[in-house]
Amino acid sequence: MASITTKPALVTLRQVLSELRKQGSTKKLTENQMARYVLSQYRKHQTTDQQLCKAADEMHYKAKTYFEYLHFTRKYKEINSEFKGKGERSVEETARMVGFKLPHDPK
Amino acid sequence: MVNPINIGLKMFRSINIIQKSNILNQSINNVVKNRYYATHKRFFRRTDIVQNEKNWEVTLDHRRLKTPNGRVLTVNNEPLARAIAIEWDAQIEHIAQPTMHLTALCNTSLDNPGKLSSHDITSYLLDFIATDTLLFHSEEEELKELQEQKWVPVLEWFNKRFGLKQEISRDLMPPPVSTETRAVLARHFLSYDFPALNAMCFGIEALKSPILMLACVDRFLVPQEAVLLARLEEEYQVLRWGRVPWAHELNQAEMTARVAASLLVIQSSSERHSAAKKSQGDQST
Repeated sequence: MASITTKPALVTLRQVLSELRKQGSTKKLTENQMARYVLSQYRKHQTTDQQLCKAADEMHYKAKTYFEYLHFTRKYKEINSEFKGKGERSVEETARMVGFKLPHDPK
Repeated sequence: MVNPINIGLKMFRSINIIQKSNILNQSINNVVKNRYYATHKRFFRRTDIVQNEKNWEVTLDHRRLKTPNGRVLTVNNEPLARAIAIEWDAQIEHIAQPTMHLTALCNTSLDNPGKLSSHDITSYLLDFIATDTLLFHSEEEELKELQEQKWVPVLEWFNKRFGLKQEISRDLMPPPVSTETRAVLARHFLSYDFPALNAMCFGIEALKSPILMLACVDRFLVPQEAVLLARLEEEYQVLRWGRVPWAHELNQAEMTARVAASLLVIQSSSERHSAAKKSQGDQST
């Protein structure tokens, strides 16, 4: 019987909590409503994660999906902010690059 | 009739004027230069959720989150509301709306800006099947081998799951889609409610493949695997020509986030009934 307390499911739990810690505005996980909710869901489905007796692994799959959502949104933002164009250089910056000064700068 | 050349000239002149005034006024130049699109600073301290009868709402400092059309954003289950609250809480300095897929999906299904019905989306998705990425196998030997190794198990799953026989194409012509396939899939798509169908459409457009999305919904693949299969040719080329983080990895991250977001919406809408029953059980214990 698939259970949420198997090792892969706990690995996913750790990954979700780590993502929540990285993204949230509060530093403590105990203050994070989602972290508390995820933990309570894990506890609730400790014996089995089969809802409606439909399929095994349902809650674990959901946790994995949520982890991937959090992880890849953060990764997208990181890559984007690293490589994002910073626009044109200002006149002062360009002048300094080639060793010039602007007319009103002190000599 | 308006002469297009005249408009072009007018635009050109107005750009000239802007440039001149920029040289005169450095402060305006800085403002214009740094603004690419409208951004909002974070204006709230904490995010939370409230229950309103059977629906859930998201609050930003006691103000209720609303859709672009001004309706209150309500969702019909708790985990999704919590996920949206976390999504807003993750916007530390600026609110980057293009990356908030869960909010966007809920907004679209509430506001329905395209005035679509479930039948419109279904017929659009049925037309998509003939151009599914998985149905176009390459003519190049090496890539074809890779595609057969990775794609064929998913196609076999698809045929078995829906009891169909879908042909594949080896050139540019889309393969034939039988009326039976369309009927079976139409029934399947219409069994979802509108928010789920809207999310399904979003995920399919990201993956460019209805088959992969259906495999994700049935938990045959996780989003990361599905994205890898959808980008198989790109990955094959990357092995030969090298990986560029600001193109390939950015693309991969965005696609996976989109697919995972749409899956979360689909899952939460399909398990609403069981969730309602469980909360009743909780009260009695």
